[in-house]
Amino acid sequence: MKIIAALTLAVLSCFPLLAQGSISGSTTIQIDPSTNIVTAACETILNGEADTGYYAARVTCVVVDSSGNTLPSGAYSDDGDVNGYADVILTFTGVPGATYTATGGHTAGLTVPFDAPIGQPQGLNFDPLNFYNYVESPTQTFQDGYDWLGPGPEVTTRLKTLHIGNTIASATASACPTSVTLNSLTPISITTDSNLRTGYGAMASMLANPTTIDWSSAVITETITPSSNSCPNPGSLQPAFQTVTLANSSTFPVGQGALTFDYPQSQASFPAIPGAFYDEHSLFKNFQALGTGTCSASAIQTYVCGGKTLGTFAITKTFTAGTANGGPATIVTVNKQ
Amino acid sequence: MTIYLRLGLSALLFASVVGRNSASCQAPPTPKDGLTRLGIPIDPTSLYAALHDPRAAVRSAAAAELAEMKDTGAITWIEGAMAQEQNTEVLFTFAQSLDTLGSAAGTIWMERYCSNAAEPVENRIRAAINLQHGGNYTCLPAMTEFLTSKDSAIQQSVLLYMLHIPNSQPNSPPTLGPNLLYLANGGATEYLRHLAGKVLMQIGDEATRSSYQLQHPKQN
Repeated sequence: MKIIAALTLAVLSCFPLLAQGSISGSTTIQIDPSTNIVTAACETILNGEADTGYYAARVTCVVVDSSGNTLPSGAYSDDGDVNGYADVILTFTGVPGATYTATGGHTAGLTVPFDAPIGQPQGLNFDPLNFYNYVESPTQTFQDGYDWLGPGPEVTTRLKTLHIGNTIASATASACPTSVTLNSLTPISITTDSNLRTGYGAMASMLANPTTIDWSSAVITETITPSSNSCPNPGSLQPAFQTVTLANSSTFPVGQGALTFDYPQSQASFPAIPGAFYDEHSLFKNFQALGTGTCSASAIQTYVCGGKTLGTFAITKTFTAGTANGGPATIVTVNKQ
Repeated sequence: MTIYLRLGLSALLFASVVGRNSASCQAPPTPKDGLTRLGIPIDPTSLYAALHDPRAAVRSAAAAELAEMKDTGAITWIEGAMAQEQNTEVLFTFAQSLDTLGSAAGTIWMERYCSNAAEPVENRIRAAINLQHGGNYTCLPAMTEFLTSKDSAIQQSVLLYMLHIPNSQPNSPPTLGPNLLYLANGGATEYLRHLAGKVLMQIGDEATRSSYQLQHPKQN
């Protein structure tokens, strides 16, 4: 028992000699999917013996895009070792689809000059844990975070700051909206073009969500699959919908206005709405397609971006024999849900 | 100039021969697409001149593009062109562009369009939607009339318009609640009934909302 107690005492008394210090460095980068706001954080922390007044934590933080363009950057120095850590937080709005890389540079400032005896070199700084060791080696860069141990023994150096290494982190902003929803559906009448005898339909305004993000660079396409048609077959209303695949789909520009597809015969225009794109659902012919009665046709539509389905809608075109512009006509109306 | 004329004539010919019979579910042309197709350069000076182009489609697209460019300097140009315009559809686009550019005169025009029973239904709805983008719900009484339309497409358009109105409005007509309740109970499709119920709970009067809640306890 006495032996164990003696050993314990010996270990405890040796502890100050064994105690180690380290400097932790970390870099994180996150992108809020609802706003595309990028937040990069770089931090240098002094641990253990490294946080006893001989060092000051310093950090630099630089964000670059995939083209190497430098975006926001910042630096902070915890001079006087007030906190024992230094951090920089950068925020900015990202561009959909862009990849950002943040690099944190981690540095220890030497705060205690070495009191050299007269006759020996002056102007030296005290580095009790020998972080100078990392300065002599090629700069190390680690993913996300790293803990640099002070290897000791104590050294002196003319340097006042010791750049001990870097940490990096990357993130990519989503290139695509999370969903597409129906914003408005405006009927377009055949009367907008007096030369037609069959037509017209509706202009749908679709929201690319979240609308807080500028999706103007997103490549949104569609598929259309006809699902039913009660119109005379064979007849001039077959097909009422053209099959559309991703291969032959048009691309929907977000945030731009629209003209009806029959332009320039028709001059109906629809103003740009932030966060929305237009999709025209129409059918027009210069002859009367349906002599009497009414019939309808339906199709399933999906909006796709980056291989992901953003929304599925059922579109119904209803054809009704009627009159327009003083003559017989087939009136086309559209529902979308 | 000759090239532009040829391009324009080619586009017109193409549209009149090939494009006149079509089933479309696709991205419509933007005003910029349309103007480019007809050889109009996309810059303010050219667009101001295009407001007086002999082709109605060019005048309309020029005004729409100026609005999209947020060129407030175009307001006086559009107002000047409007005074001489005869084409009703182009006049509508001029007024719509003025409203989009923040012109009070444009807003007044849009309010007149939506409330004028002599105007085509689609122009009345387009005017209402244009105003609604700016948080102006003046057209609510006029749109309420369309809830009783026999055309489910018009009913859907109006319900989607109303869905953007955040709460009961001081200008809500007394027929709003009953018309919405009628649609919520008897709309042509489940989708329309559900949409009408949602709008009713959002902007309907208290009495009609209570009535709806009693009839549809599961949805509340």
